[in-house]
Amino acid sequence: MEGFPTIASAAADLAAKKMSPVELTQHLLARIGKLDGQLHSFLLVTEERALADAKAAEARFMAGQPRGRLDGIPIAHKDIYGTAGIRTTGHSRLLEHNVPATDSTVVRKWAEAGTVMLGKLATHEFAMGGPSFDLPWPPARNPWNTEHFTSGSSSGTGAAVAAGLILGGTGSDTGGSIRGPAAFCGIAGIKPTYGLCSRAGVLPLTYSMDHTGPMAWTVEDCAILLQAMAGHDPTDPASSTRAAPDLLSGLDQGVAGLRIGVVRHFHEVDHKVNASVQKGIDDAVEILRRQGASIREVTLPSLQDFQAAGSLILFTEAYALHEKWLKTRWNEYGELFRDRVSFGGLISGADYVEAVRRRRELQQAVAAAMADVDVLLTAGAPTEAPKIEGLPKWAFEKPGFTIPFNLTGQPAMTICSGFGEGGLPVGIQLAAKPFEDGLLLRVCQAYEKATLWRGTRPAMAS
Amino acid sequence: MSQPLTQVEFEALVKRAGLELTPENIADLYSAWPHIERFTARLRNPARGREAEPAHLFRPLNPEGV
Repeated sequence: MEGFPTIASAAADLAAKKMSPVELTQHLLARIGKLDGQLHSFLLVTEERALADAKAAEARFMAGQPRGRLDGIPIAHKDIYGTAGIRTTGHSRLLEHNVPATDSTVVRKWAEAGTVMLGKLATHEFAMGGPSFDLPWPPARNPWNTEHFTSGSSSGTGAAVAAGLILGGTGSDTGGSIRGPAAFCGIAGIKPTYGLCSRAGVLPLTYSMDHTGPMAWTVEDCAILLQAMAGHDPTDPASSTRAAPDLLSGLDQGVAGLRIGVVRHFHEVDHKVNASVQKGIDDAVEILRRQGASIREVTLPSLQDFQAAGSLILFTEAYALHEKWLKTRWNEYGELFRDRVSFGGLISGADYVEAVRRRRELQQAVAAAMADVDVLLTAGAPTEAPKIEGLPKWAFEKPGFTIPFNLTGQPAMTICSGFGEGGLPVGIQLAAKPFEDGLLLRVCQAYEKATLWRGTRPAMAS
Repeated sequence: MSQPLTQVEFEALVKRAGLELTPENIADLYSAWPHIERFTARLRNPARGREAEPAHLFRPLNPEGV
């Protein structure tokens, strides 16, 4: 097998019987065996399960009864997604031997769609705080340069997708944990609208900011995966009762007539990005304009306001979830997660209430600013991936570009927008109004199809 | 903006939270505490009145539990 199949191309080849699910799975298992010793993207490879899934898919194809485009497609799950009978650790010593009895809803949905589960993927401990070198497993490495960081917390998914070890995988996003790795690893990742995808059975980080979502090489692959994730789940209190939207039929409708709002002050004033990221944004604006979108500038509250409210809510809710263990098993945590979350125990109740009230004001401000635009465009990350060693422990000085949309709950996606010095990728972020995930994917698809970035993979993976 | 917390006051917060930390842990956390104080200082909007409680509306359940 040559090249790097995407989900869409593999689905076509499987349907045409140009390859079999077992061949595809064996090919990827061999790639994992060859490359993951350098990447550490997997915490657990479930080879036996994968081959059983692949054989079952193959039998369905041979019987002329495939379940759809995800049947026989190899994927893997971030190791905060509960998997029945398979270790689910949160990349933490505290859950090193945790084996859930049931699948999380998303894992079950993807399994029902026919996916082949290759294993469980590295994360930052309990989905926050890395890269950590004091956990039972090492942090994932960036396949574009293994001396560099993947970002996180969906670090294993970002690395494994970019290196072509999986065709797609699950991520989660509380402050940017899908979109950060998507930017640094040069892939596509969408944080859907809050409530669109179930969180049930996924190890929580916060109550009000956690989102589940897919990561893959292309926008189209993310759309295919998200379609199979979305929908009401009565076991998740935050799950929307809206019918799952059709995310695929409008994907190629282009951007003519759409209104794109560029949040220039985010990346030029609030947190100035480097030249490669700036060029990616400027080029994206021109590409979308040439395709018929109208471009205008949008002003939102400063990134620092989003960072202040988001950080306070995140730390406080995460502390509430981890309080018992922080008091009794402090030394079993990794230093980064433990120390950051501990601030949540020191924040006053009044400050938490003010953070939640501020969140609502920020949400209203973004909604008002989007009254006459369809999609916002910002940076995905301020720079290319830095080196993984020697990163500062406290990364509070400069606000991130992703947390605004965790606070507002609206869908946001990061896609590759080029490469910087040293060949590391950079990314742009686009965000749509709540429950307009399909429109967001459509805009990202139009940009991606007009660029050549999907033709380049990391050298170590080729 | 209120005065920055002294390390003694910070240690009292840690004790109240019930966390049993070493002096090194406490000193490390205290070194980053000014960032948290910066965040909390940004939250309070002088224009926001006492009656503005948009994020904390409570709705009782009906007899069917929904």
